[in-house]
Amino acid sequence: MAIISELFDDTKFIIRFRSKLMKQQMELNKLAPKTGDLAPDFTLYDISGTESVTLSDFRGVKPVALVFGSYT
Amino acid sequence: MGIQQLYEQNHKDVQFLNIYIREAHPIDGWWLGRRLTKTLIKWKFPYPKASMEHYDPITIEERRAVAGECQSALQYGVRTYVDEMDDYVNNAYAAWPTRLNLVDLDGRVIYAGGLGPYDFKPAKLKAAIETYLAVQRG
Repeated sequence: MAIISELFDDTKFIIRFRSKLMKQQMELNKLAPKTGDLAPDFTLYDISGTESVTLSDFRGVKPVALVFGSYT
Repeated sequence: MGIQQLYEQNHKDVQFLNIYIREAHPIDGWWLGRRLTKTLIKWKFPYPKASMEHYDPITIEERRAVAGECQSALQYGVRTYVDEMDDYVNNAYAAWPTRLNLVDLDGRVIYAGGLGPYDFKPAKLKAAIETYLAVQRG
């Protein structure tokens, strides 16, 4: 019974949270660069915080594949 | 096809950048549940190395530390760069929770993947890379 209750609570939470986040993300998605747009430039540091990379440094050098994600 | 395989096949011709952004399912956010739900989700979704045990980092040092754990766990072989705490890059690309893009030599987007996880498709990125390189080689 406790397991079913846990499953039910978790499912309710996941669905509610998902609706909220997906709505926000859909709004942001409208502003995301589309095919043909200039890719927003950026400079970021690696996990050590010492080595940086700037997207525009690769212009004329190599095309760039951007892989966005996280651990969870 | 996974990112690692894509990287191994194309890294000489394409620069791969792994951009670590805000957590998708932190414990203090859209957490994917406790014992049973977590088990069911891990069984259903093919992301065996994803973590379900992290809080959303609140400092850049914390985010870099978690990104480092992720890099070690996934072993893509692709260097990871970490979005700053203002989430600038994440917002600029509407990247959360996960997305793929391909940028050409002129700095233009030539492949804009859909929102992950359902539209996170390495096979489509592969096709875009192959098409672009074929055109470049003439």
